[in-house]
Amino acid sequence: MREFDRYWPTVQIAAKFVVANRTQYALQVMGDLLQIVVMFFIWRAAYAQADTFGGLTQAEMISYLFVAQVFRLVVTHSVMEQQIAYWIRSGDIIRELVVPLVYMWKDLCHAIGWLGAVGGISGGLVYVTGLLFFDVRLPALSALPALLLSLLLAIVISFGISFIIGTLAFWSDGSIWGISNAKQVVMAFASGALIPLSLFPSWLRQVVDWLPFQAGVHIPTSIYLGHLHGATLWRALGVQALWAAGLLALANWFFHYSLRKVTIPGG
Amino acid sequence: MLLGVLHPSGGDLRILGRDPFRERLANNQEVGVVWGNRNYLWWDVPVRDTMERYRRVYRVSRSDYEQRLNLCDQFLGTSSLLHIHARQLSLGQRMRCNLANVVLHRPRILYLDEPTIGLDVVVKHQVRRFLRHINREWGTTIILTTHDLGDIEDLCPRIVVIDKGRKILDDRLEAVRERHGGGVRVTFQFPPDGTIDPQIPGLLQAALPGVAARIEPGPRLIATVPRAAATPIAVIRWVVGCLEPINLQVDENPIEEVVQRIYRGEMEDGHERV
Repeated sequence: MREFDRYWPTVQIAAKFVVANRTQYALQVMGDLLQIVVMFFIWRAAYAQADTFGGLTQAEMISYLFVAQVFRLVVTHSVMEQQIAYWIRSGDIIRELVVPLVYMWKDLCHAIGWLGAVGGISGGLVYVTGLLFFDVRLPALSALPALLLSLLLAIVISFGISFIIGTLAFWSDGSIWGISNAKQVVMAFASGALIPLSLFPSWLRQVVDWLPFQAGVHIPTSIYLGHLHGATLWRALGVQALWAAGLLALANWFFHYSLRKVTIPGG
Repeated sequence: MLLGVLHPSGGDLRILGRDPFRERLANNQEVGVVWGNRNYLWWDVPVRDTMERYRRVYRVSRSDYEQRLNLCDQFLGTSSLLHIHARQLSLGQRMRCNLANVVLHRPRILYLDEPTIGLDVVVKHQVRRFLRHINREWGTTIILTTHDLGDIEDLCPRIVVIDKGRKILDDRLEAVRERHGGGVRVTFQFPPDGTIDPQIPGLLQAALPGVAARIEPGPRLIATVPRAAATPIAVIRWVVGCLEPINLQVDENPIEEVVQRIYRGEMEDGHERV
């Protein structure tokens, strides 16, 4: 617990940072909202032709649409790996290498505080809009503990991916813009944030099931909608925990390996 | 390397009895570092938030924290800056806050890389006075790299000069002055509309061997007088005997010139190169 106290202030200060720029994040979410509304009308037109798609009714599909977007906003943000890469490129990383904190844990705390606040602001706006105007349904109370655990694991998984991509800045003279964008696109699809994974053709579904992205949005969304119970729920959480542990281990190794070739511009 | 960030390619290094690379976190707890060209404060939050984070990261008790903050305020005038967002601070204000930040955990060793770079004279003076204080009162070892030789003159009892990765000098500042630049500098000011005969420096040097003279705009005649070569009185007597300066000034030879001479390798005979 004493160690925890060294790390917690980083979560706080990262959240404060976002709150200081809240207007910016609130405006940014307007783009996301517009996209969801467009999707809403497309799905409404589609449901005029059939009762279910991928086993989801229209009401379920709309709930999925909103909840998955909310979780995507809570779990991931392209700025995250750009930030990690920026610290490396600018040499500012040295500031945090000279304090008595393990660098990756400090960055994870930063991500948790930052994503928590961004998700609270942007995700909150999307969620409230969904609840008020689009009949998004509420989760079962009994699903909440599993949902919170699942979201926390999802943040860790997403952080692990971002940290590895950010660390590439050691090797690419700092620019990770391209790979970061590619990740965002893959993440949007393969996580189930745009379209439910149950609509994917079975071969693609199998590929996606073996990637970490679906553990980021699809699993928590499925828990929220009550699609996972008992053994399948535990199995899903287990998959998330494995991905989280594996990605952190890989990220940690990669970071320290990369650090050996670090150079910091002096004065 | 001293901070355990760079991976050592060979050799052995101990800071306070530890290998800083293997025991980086333990080492970090006991040292502090400021780079003059880097900002340590979180950009979009008040300075106080950054400091509060450091306090908890280094596990400083609240009473120690308040006490050290007071000390910083006394020397650096930081208390009025604590509520300001870091991005709104000027360079000098930021540097004062960076310094206050880094001493909160009372490091046993403080590394400073160009701490006064780009600072105005008032802030420079504040910073130096503060460093002298914590060096004396806390016994903090301060290791300073700088291009501003005023920092060295003001602060350092010991000086190490590194040129192209090689240590070319390591000695007490006073000793360095004595050996390599010992002596004084005499500056003669002439009427602004007049000129100095360009032969004068040569004549002066011939009359008093060991003295170096040159003419600078102003016009001014500057004579560097090594202690062993002549007395400033002799130089003044010679100059006043043949010219009519309107003013003169006698200084200790500035360390800047001493170091320049060391870099040029113009050391006096009889002294070994380190």
